[in-house]
Amino acid sequence: MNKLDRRVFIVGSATALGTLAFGAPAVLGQSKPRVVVIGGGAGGATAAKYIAKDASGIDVTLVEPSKQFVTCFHSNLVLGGFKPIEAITHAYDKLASAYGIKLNHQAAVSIDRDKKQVKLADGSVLDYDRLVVSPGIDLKYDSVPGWGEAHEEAMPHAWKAGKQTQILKARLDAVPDGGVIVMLAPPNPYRCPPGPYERVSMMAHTLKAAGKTKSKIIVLDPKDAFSKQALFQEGWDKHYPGMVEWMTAKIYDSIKSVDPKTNTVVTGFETYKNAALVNVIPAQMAGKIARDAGLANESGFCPIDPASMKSAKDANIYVVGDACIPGDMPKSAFSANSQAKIAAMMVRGELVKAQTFPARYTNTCWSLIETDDTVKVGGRYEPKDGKIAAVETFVSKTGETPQLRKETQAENVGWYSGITADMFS
Amino acid sequence: MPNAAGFNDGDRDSSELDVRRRMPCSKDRQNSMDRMNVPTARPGTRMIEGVPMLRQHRFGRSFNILFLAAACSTGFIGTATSAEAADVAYGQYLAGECVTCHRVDGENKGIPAIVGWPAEQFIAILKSYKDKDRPNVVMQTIAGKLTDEEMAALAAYYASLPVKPSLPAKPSLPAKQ
Ligand SMILES: Cc1cc2nc3c(=O)[nH]c(=O)nc-3n(C[C@H](O)[C@H](O)[C@H](O)COP(=O)(O)OP(=O)(O)OC[C@H]3O[C@@H](n4cnc5c(N)ncnc54)[C@H](O)[C@@H]3O)c2cc1C
Repeated sequence: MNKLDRRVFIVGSATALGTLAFGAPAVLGQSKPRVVVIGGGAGGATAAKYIAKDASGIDVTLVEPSKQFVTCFHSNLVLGGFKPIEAITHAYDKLASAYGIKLNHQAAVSIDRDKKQVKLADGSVLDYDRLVVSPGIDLKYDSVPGWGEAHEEAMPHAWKAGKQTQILKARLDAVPDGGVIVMLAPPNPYRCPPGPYERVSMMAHTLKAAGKTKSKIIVLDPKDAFSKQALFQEGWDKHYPGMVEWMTAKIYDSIKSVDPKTNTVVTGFETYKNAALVNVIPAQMAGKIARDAGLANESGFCPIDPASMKSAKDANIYVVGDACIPGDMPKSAFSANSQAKIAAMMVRGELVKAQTFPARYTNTCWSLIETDDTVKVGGRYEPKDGKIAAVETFVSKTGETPQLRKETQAENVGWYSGITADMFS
Repeated sequence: MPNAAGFNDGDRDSSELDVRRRMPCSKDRQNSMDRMNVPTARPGTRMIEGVPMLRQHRFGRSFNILFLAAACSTGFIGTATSAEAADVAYGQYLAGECVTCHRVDGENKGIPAIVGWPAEQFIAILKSYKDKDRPNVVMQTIAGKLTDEEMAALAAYYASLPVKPSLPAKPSLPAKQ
C-alpha cells in the first residue's frame, strides 16, 4: 500500500466511523429492564451472557432445567473414544458469578405473550420485557413406525447429548465383530447436517480400532444427498473399506417398521433382523415451549426476522438456535452462537439503547472422519430477501493432504475450546 | 518497496503525523491532539510468526492517525475518547464472529491467539487471507468480506485487549504454505 492509499484507507475508515451512533446506555423506565432466556444451550447461554456482559444494566434470568450442559457437538468424538463425556460437560456457575445472570434451574412450562410472562415448572412466574427462546429441538417420536419415547434405550437416538450418548457408546462398544449396526438418518430439516455421517465415521473408527472390521454399518437415509457427502464417502472408502453402506430411500423404499424388542428394521427392500445396534435419528421440530407459544409455523420451526433474530410472530420475543428457521444457515451450535449474539445486540439496543450494527452471521462445522482426518464446511451469511442468506460458502476438498486434514482437526479442537469458553466463561 | 505484508516500510521522508496536522480540519485537530496527549508508541508490540515485524513506533503512529481521523470526521474533536470507543465498539461487535474460535482470553488451544496483536500486523494478516495469500478457507471467507474499515475496527479492538502475562510472548500463527 503506498502513502496515498494508506491515507485514503484511513480517511475511509474515519468516514465509516462517523456514521456510527454514539448511544449512551439509558435505562428506560424506573427499574432495570428484564430479559428472560429460555434454554441454556448453544443459543441461550450465549444470548444470556452477551445481554448481561459489560454490566449492561439489564436483569437477565436464564431458565434451564439442567445444572450442567452436555454438548451435542463433539458427542460423536465421545462415541469414537476421542474424548471422555466429562470433556463435553459444562457448568453454568460462571454465568452467574462473572455476569450476574440469575440461573433458574427448572423448565419453562408456558409463555403468556400478552402478559409478557413465563411460567415455570414450580408454578412461579417471571415477567419479561424481552424474551429469548432457544429450547433446541424436540424429536418427532411418531415419525418412525414402531419406535417412540419408550424405546429410547433399546434403540437410542443420542440426538440430545448426555445419558443418550452414554447408552449409544456402551451399545457400540458391545457390538461383536460381524455385527450389524443400522442407522436411521433423519429427514431435513434437522440439527447438525453432517452429524449423522460424522457419527457413522466414529462408529466405524471404534469398530476398526477394536479389530471388528467384519462389522457393518447400514445407513438408511430418506435424503438423496447429504452434507459433505463426497468427503465422507471418500473417507469411508479409505479408512473403513466395506464397513459402511449408505442407501437412499430410492433403494430401500421406506421404513415399514422397527421392532425395539428384537432389534429389527423392516424396509420396503430388506429386513434387518437382530441388529447389534439400531440408532434411530428421527424427524425434528422446535422445542415444545416455542411451539406451544405459537412461535412456530406449519413447518414446526419458528420464523424470524433475519436482520435481528426477532420472532416473526411477537415483537418482544427473539428465537435463536435450532428452534428458528435459519434460512441458509445449518442448525448448528456455531450458528446458534452467531444468531444469539445478534439477538443480544438487538435486545440491548431496544432496552438500554446500546449501539447496534447490521446483522451478519457465520458458521463452520468440522467433522472428524478418522484420527487426524477432519473436514469442514462453512460460510458467511447476511439478511437478504427475507431470510438469512449465504453470502459465501466453502467446503473441504476431496484428496486433501494428510497434513491439511490434521491441521483441520487442530482447528476443530480449538473451535470447541473457543465456543464453549464463549458460552460459559 | 512494499514488504511481505504489503506495507511500505521505512520509505517515508517525513512523519505522517505532520502531514495530518497540515490537512483540512487540522486546526481543531491539532488543538485536540495537544489536549489528548496521545502516546506515540504502544507498549508490548510483539513479533508475529510469518509476518515481518514493522518498526514499533509505526504502530503508534498509524494508530493515532486512525484515532484522529475518526475524531475529525465525527465532529467529536476534544472528545476523542468517544471516537476511539466507537471504533473499538464496532470492532468488538465484528469480533463476535472471531471469538467463537479464537479464545478471547488469548489462550491458544488449537486455534491461534489473536488478542493484543498490534493493529497494523492484524490488518496485514487479514489482508493476506483476503488476497488468498494464506491458505485457510475459513479465514479467507471471513477476511474476504471485510472492508478496510472493518479490518481497522477489528484491529483496534484486538489491540486494545490485555494480554495475560502468563501467555507465551510470541503469538503463533500457522506458517504460510
Ligand atoms: C451428534 C451431534 C453432533 C453435533 N455436532 C456439532 C458440531 O460439530 N458443530 C456444531 O456447531 N453443532 C453441532 N451439533 C448441533 C448443535 O448441538 C446444536 O445445533 C446446538 O446445540 C443448538 O443450540 P440450541 O441453543 O438451539 O439448542 P441446545 O443446545 O439443544 O439447547 C437447548 C437447551 O434448552 C433447554 N430447554 C428446552 N426446553 C426448555 C424449557 N421448556 N425450559 C427451559 N429450558 C429448556 C434444554 O434443556 C437445552 O439445554 C451437533 C448435534 C448433534 C446431535
